[in-house]
Amino acid sequence: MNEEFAVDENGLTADGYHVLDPKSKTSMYLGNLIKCALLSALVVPVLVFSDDIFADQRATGCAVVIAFYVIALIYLMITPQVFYRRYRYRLDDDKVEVRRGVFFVTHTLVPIERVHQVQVRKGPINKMLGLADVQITTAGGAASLEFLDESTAESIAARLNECVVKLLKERD
Amino acid sequence: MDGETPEAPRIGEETFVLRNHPSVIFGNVVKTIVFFLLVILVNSANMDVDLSKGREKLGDYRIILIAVAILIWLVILFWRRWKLTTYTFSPTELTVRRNTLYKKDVHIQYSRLASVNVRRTVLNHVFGTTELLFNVNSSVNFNAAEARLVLKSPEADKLRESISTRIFAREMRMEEEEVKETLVKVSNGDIILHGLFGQPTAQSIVGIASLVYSLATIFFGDGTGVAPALVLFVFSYAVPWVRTIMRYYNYRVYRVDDTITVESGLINNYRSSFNINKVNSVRIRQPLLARFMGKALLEAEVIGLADSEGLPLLCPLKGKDIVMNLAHQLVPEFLFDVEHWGQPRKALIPTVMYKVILSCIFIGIGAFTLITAETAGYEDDVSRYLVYGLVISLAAVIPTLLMIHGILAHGNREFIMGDDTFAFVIGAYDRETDFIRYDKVQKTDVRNGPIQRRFGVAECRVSMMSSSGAKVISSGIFMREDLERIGDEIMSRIRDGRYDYRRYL
Repeated sequence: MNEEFAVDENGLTADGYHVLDPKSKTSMYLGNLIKCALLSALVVPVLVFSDDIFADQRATGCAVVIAFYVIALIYLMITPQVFYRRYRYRLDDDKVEVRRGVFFVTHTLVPIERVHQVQVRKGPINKMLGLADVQITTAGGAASLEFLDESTAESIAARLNECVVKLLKERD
Repeated sequence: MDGETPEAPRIGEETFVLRNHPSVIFGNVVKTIVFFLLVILVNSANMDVDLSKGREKLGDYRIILIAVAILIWLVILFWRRWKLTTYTFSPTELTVRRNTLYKKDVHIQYSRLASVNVRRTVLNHVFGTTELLFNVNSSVNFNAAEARLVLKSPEADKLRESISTRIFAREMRMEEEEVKETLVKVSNGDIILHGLFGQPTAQSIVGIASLVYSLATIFFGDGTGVAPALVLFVFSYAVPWVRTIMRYYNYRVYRVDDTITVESGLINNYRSSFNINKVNSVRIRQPLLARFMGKALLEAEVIGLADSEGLPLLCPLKGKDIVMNLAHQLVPEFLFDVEHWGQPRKALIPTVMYKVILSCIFIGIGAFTLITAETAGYEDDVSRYLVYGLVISLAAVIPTLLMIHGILAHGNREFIMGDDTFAFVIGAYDRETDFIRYDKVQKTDVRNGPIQRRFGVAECRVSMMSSSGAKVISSGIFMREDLERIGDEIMSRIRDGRYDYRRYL
């Protein structure tokens, strides 16, 4: 793993980024398990009825389907670990930064001055694990802080909302 | 006070209420009748109904009675809507109230208005009226005005003068505007050329290829597939061309203080005015064919112009020098002179590698297609040549074009940072230069893939509010730390007060 993703004993990177809660890996693995089940539910009938679907090209068709299936499974198995190790976020007085990605690593910067709306979202798996996402909406698109501990998510959202309200009040 | 009142009061004196000119009732009834006639015609065609039987029945008094009843119902409906819709102009805001089945109460602060635009359709010309479009600086409802008001033309001009004075913080006189000289002379021939060559090259290729295919099929084949190809040509090329000509005929553009005004129109006339501070970015675009002719066009990203035609056009296709000259007169705030800063050498390998990977995928698909076809055998020579054509395209033409694209893109791409704006130059065949205000960037994403990371390079995507909702503008491939400076500059402008939100209200 690249040096920029190394963390100290407090779980912070050299430039003060926070890391994800380890429970986030469980959430991602559970989510991917469901995706695997759905994918299998699609692939198995295709293989069972491959005679009718691919006719003369059965062997080639099955090989292509199985190849894609295996690649997808490997991707779903590997990505949570990589995503977890690379994911970093930092909340300053005036900006939010997120570094994330599996193959493509993205550094997102959102000035708090541009934030229009802040939302805390919890899906069924995250709710079960006590995790939540914070969705930050600007006029030009949204950014999100994912797989945060529920209380952390709530406090970040509250802090961002406070900043937005303060800015709006100053302008009125 | 209704639309026929000869004198509209000026904003700021007292609260007054206006209503649309009664001609809107006529306009709405006509539009509805035309719509229903079209629906009936389309359905008749689909259901294979013999319309001649209908014509025989037209003499039937019951049908006439039903038609008259519907007409009366429509007139009453639209009269009621006209009567119950009012526009209240207070010293600080415009309130649109509609008290019909669907109640509406819209409050628009004058300070939030981006522009008050003018549209004159054929109906407006007949009745001597003008439609005012009130646009808020928002990406929501980006292609629809927040309020529309039809008044007698002199009255509309006075009201627009009055509101524009509030928005643009300067006196605005329509008589002065009408004699104001355009900053660039655009002939109607230029507009026709703009319609032909101003479209993105990919769109032109699809259109021209569809036309060539249609003609070839008509003259040399059995005519199979003519209709879809012609429809594709009409919608991808002919219709945008005609729309562009109709929209930008009689083109004028000028700037008074901080207000830019664009006027045009062949049948319907448009006049849009906006403050320079409402412009988020400026773009100089050169589609491939236009570039061969040494031409370029100038566009501006302005929120709240209520224009579904795309970016507001500041200059149609003209010589590149003329366009640059105009840009210096019209939007000097966006331009800056610094040395060109092209993609670093380290970016060449990631740029080309990406194209190599894509080329390999296409070659693989081509090889797979050929092997499959050869194994299965060909029905006749035509299918054999079709497969060969497809394979050559996939395995040779597309990879060659991709490689040329990569090399050209590497040579063209630039990234330049100025004091108030920064610029991305992108494109290989079609080229464009975007000048973007730091203060209008909502979010930045600096992104790099596995190959780019090895060379320490990345791409930057800046998200902005645009005239068509949200928009992302991407850079070429540059050193990651250089691209990170965009975000740093945005933050330092916020911190040190160079960014002042009041400037953009």
